[in-house]
Amino acid sequence: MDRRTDVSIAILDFVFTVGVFGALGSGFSFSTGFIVTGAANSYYSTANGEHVFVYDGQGKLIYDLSANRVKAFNINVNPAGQEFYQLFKLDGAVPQFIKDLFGW
Amino acid sequence: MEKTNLYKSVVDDSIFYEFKEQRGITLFNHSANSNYIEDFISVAYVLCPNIIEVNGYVFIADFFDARGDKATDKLLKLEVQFNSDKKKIEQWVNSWSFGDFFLGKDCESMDNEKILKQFGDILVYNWTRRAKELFPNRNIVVEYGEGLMGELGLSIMLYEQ
Repeated sequence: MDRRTDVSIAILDFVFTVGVFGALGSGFSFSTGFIVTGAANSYYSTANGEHVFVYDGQGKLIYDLSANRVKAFNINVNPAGQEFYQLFKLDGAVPQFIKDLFGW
Repeated sequence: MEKTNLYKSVVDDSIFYEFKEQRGITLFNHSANSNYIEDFISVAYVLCPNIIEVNGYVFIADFFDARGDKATDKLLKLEVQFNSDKKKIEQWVNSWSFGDFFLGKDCESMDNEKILKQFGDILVYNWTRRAKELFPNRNIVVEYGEGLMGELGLSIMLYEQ
């Protein structure tokens, strides 16, 4: 499976990055936008609990999960070394255990 | 006395006064003071994006990245996932949060309801006209709403009714 397109790989990334149990979470307040950097190896829920944002070991945003889909953040680097985010929706349904975990 | 008519833009020009940082004195002037030509062209693309049709399904091409045989394979997986519900498949693929049009560009205006709705109205107008141009005999709906198909906050969505 392709790491960058398949939702099941994203979920494995999620589990191994922050751990399903004992992961960080502090009730982040998002409105329409989001914050592209956070604490390393962490995840945060939106105030209404409907979205979870996952940050990798470098504190960069890698996933936005909701009950209906997972979006992944790809980082492209230009020749000047600047990073630019690219978003895409991953194939597949969100697994039930993830929905259960967040009460979805 | 000559008769004059002003045909208003689809963008409400008074929205300019909602802007946190006004670069100039009108929307036209703000644009000239803000954008490189590359920015302008890329925004025009977003307002009139590539659209791909796969076996009768209509997708915004940037939301459906597969092409050729891979596009058919991807569609088959979607049909399994959504029990061949065409409308739901198009809604799922073609839904996108307003915030995801502005990666890493969060600002106070992203919390201004008037500005967000103006943005939604602009997308609806342009995508609807483009869809009507490409598929004049099909009822392609473009709408926006809160949390559509699991998106975050206000989101745009395109599908055939």
